Amino acid sequence: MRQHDDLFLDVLSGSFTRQVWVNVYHGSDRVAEDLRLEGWSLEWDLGAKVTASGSGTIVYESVAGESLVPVGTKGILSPFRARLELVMEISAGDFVRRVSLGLFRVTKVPEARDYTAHVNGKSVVVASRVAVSFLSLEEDVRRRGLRSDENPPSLASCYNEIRRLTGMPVEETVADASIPASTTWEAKQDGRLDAVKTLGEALGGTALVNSAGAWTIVPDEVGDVDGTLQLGEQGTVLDVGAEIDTDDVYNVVVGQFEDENRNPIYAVAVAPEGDLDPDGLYGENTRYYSSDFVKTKAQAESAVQSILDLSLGSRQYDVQIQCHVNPLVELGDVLELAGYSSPLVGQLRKVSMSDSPYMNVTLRVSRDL
Amino acid sequence: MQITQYEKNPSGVSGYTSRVNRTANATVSISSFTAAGWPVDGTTSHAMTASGTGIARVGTVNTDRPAAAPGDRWSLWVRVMCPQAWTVGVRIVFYDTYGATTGTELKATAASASFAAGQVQTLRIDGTVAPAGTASVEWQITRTSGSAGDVYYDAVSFTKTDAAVPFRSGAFAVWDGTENASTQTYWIPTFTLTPRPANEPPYVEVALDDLPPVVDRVTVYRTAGGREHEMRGAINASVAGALSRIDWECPFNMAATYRAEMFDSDGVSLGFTPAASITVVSADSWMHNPLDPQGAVRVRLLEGTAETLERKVPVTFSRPIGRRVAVALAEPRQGLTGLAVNVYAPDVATADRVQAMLGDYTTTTVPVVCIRVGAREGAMRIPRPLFLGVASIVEKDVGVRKGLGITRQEMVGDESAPPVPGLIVPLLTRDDIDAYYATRDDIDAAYLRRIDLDRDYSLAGYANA
Repeated sequence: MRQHDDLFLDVLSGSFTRQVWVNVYHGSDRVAEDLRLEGWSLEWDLGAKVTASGSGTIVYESVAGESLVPVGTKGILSPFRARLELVMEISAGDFVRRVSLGLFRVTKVPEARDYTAHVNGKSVVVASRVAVSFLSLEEDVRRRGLRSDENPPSLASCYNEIRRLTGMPVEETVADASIPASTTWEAKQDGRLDAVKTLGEALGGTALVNSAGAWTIVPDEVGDVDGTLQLGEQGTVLDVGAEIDTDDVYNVVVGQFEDENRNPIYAVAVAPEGDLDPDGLYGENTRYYSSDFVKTKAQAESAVQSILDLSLGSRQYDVQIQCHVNPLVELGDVLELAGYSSPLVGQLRKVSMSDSPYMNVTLRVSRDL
Repeated sequence: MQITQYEKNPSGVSGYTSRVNRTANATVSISSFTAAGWPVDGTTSHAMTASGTGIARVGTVNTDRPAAAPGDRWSLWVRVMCPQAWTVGVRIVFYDTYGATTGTELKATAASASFAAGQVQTLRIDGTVAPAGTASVEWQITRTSGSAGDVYYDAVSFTKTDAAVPFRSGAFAVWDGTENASTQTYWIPTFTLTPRPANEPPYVEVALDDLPPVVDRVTVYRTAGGREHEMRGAINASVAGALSRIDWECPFNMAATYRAEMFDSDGVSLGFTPAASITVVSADSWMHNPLDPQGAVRVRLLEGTAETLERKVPVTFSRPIGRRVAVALAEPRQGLTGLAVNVYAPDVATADRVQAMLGDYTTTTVPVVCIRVGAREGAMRIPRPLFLGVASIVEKDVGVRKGLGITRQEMVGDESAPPVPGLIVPLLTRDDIDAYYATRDDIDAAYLRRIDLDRDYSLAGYANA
């Protein structure tokens, strides 16, 4: 979760007032601050290559006849230079806190318009409306390709390699690891971002840019609980999706392979005794599998067994929750749904916010089968 | 206001050693002596070294004495650090001559204090009056008795003011010449507010003077009735020592307070100027488009105006699972919405001017009108000034058909921000000045400073006369 204190959590669990502001940066210069954003939406997805995307319309009242509409490559909101920082202000009486939702790169201005009036016989811009689409800063790395295939200059540290590849700050959240030998970064579309994502996997997680604009690793392993989504008298949760899908829970895997001489090899793996036993109440759910790499009986046995394990091991499912807006939650947070019929702890995979007072989050929850 | 600070000897650092030794019992030097809270400013202070046990006294070099005239009031403020338990005093002394010779001492005013060993105290003299025949003035430090040794003093503020002015350093204290070897000018920005209640419409001339050289831009704020507005034309306005603007939006019959935030060339705030207040008295209400203040009309507000005042809060009452009462998820409260204003227009010309506020077939404007309520309708509880965004002004015939020309102008709108608040809508134009003066030399002869020309509003409208 983003930085906060207990009082902030208290305020977020009750009634409060919220506002969203936008600051515009060109490089390290803040060229405009506290602009208003209308009809905005913002979505984070841990599974996406570029984890956050959003859009909105900046409405600007001109102070001295200036315009915010980008012209060519120039202009404060030009997608050729502008970075946006979205800030959410939460207030309740004297309590006021501002939370940065993150830094974003403007990628598109789908629509822009100036409003003019006559002053002293001259036409003057009185207001601008600029619609913007923006992506999180992974986009900077995605666009910047590798010019030729590269080997990491040193295999000692994944973090150092992320620093080298991105030129961006890195916050070390999990233990560093060495890079697998004979690693080559390919010069292909999105090659640099893929390289960083690969390093994230080597570190046991997902690499992403956090709200401070630094690369960080969200570990796959669900760790300690970071925060709570409350139901009940102090609750903020409006809806919890309770969906169970058994489509991909297979308890029998049938493998059909061929050896070097094209003789058929047949292998079956069956779930052990228990709730998923094909003789039990669940019944049989069969999956068929084949692969060109399997050439012996032993390989076939191990292949079907691993497919079965994967299927039975898919003990993770997503729970969608609608709740009051909470600017503190971040991708990868381990959240507890407290006061629910059964205890639920999961990792935050998706968040979407907009100018509505509600937000939707998706938690990935583990279940025991 | 500009205050001269004689913080250091104007002759320069080397001048200290040649300061006039009034009793042949002390010398002056620059010392790097340090103690708790000492020196006051910078890394060095002045040291007066008494060479014997009697009275030790140092003063200003003759040629550094400021000129003074009879009747001037002079004040002194100085921080003194005395390492030993002595009595130390300060004096202001007036002389008849000014310059190379010592001259005759006409009057001396003294103040002194007993010091504990190592104590730091402020010694001050407030507004002593120069006697007849005064031509120059100096300040002195004295030690009445004690052994040979040092007395330190620093942060000297010697000013021609009624009361002693504490020494101030920082960006607003500017050396008049070489650093540490000249006088300092301390700049205090000053507002001069001139109400013009008789003008149609009434306005305030706002002049901001004595801005320190470091100030590059200013933003002027007007506070009235508990609300603060940025003043039109003075938002991040570029200045060179002074600013002159007309405020057409100052509300009537209430104290309006002006102050300005100053910024240097990097856009860093240098703080606010002292504030100044004014009240513009007007019995009538006036209405204008902020982008065309000269198109203002005197209006009478009819019944139906501001009968309901509504300020909404955009809020969602949410009922999370398990809660018995709703949670209010709000956004900030909005200004007035759906405010009705009905205006009486006694003749067709007034009706035309009211209608022109929203533009016509050839000009485009922003449909925001500024309404300033006069004393006659002063009881109304609407914001002052009120900026009302109106989509249309409906004209209703009261007496036009009968040839009386009377109409009723009805509008309903939401409180809106004034458009392009940084834009100056000039009263005095270049054309006015060109029309009034035949040559450039005439202009130069008429005004001492550029800003004087800029604020000579007596010429306004001359080009069209």
